[in-house]
Amino acid sequence: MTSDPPALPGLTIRAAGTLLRDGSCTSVALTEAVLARLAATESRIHAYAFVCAESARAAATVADRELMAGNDRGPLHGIPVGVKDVIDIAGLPTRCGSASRADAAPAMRDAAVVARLRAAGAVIVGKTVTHEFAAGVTSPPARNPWDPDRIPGGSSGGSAAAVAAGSALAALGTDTAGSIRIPAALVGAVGLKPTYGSVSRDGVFPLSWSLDTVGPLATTVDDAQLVFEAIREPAGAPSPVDGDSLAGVRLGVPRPYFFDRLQPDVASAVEQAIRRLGDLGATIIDVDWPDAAVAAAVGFVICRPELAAVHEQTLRTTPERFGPVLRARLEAFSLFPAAGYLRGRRAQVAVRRSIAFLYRRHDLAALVTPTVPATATSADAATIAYPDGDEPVHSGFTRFTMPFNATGQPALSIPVGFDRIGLPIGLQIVGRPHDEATVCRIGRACETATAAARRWPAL
Amino acid sequence: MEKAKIAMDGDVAALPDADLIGFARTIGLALDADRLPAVRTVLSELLELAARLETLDLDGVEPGDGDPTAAWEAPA
Repeated sequence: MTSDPPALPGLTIRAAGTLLRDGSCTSVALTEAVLARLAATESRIHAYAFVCAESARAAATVADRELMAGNDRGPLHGIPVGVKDVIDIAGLPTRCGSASRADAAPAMRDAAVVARLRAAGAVIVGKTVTHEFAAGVTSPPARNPWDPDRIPGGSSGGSAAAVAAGSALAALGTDTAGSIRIPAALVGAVGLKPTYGSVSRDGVFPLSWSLDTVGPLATTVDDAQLVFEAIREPAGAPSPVDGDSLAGVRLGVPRPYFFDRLQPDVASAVEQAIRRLGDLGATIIDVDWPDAAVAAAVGFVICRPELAAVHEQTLRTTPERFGPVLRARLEAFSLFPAAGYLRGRRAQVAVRRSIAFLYRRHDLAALVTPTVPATATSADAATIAYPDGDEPVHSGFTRFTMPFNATGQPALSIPVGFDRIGLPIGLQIVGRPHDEATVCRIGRACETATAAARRWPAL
Repeated sequence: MEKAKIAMDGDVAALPDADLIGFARTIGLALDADRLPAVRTVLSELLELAARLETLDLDGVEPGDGDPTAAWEAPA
């Protein structure tokens, strides 16, 4: 029944679905190809915290039987995916990348989002590496498939690395300050942070209740949208696809703040992508969101005390379970005044009003910005290098993403080129709340017009 | 006394070392002098971020319920 094993990476969910349905491949063969790719790359990439090969094979066997019987669960049927290790999978511990959870008991049930994936017929390959408790952007021990000496970004670094390396066709991540979009940009994948609240967080280990979102990483915008449609709440009919014409679409380019201090190659690639969007028919408008920097601060003022609250009990009873850096951070965040936290929650409402006003004023469908100001840093680097100096890795990589966690808008990162040493560059597209369809439409049009999304790392 | 000062002005970072350690212990944290410099650095960074929020006019603004669409429904 099967022909040659499918070529990984680069095989899309859409293309794999065609192979599964025309009989030229089975889910078992596809899963074996993914496991083989995983085995060939893990020693350098370390994308997975845990691989569940046998249960994946069993799920693929069931998926094949169902397809042969005419029971087609939809686009994810028989598709191998990874799940970030802050998301519960029944029977597996959720270790969150932390030694403090080394003895965590297996989860009693699937997170709601995993249950949705299974109901859609997806084959879960394993749990992907996360930065400890999803609270960072480097995700050790995961590495970047384009250069294993560099970070994949984070905190969903394992999910991004798996997608770029071809050891999953898609993966789930979480995004509280940029943790889907940042690694997507740094490894040349597509990452979609949905609107806050549009995907269930039930069974997801929290970082910040007020900001956490769950979303997909994939190789194309189309694939990311397929996964999003499978996991969104409430379940329903897929969003309409209006075609890829951008005629009449108004895109804001917020140059103050979002174009400050970029690596030159990032600036060049993003400007080229914006020109391309204009060539595709979009109206490009320079705009100014004066509260952008404040919005980023709002996000951290909310996120950090909430992180301390998540770990309050452990910090009081067994603080030695945390590493020294995380322990100091949690202690500091615990000392932050409650009045300051509440000011952050009130300020969040204010910045949401100001971004809504900006969109209304200019009748915008979306904003477009660089996803991150730089390409992937070396694994041991503490700072990002610019022509005029350095910036700490964490604050640099979250600078353009965190504002939209504060506002709760959907935001997509797509690859739009490479720097002079071949590292990927990402463009961020930020839409109105619950308008993921327009964000994906813009991303798909840009992706179609570029060759960037069609290159894969040579591992 | 220290707790009252903190509650009034939020100036946690200004507390002397012994008072900060003492305050931390009242909320159940086993903070010690060895880790205090690292804790102070992180806390100062967060307080600096919080200070940026002072530029916003929050008169009459209440914490939201988390729904990001609410701000988009009413004219600002």
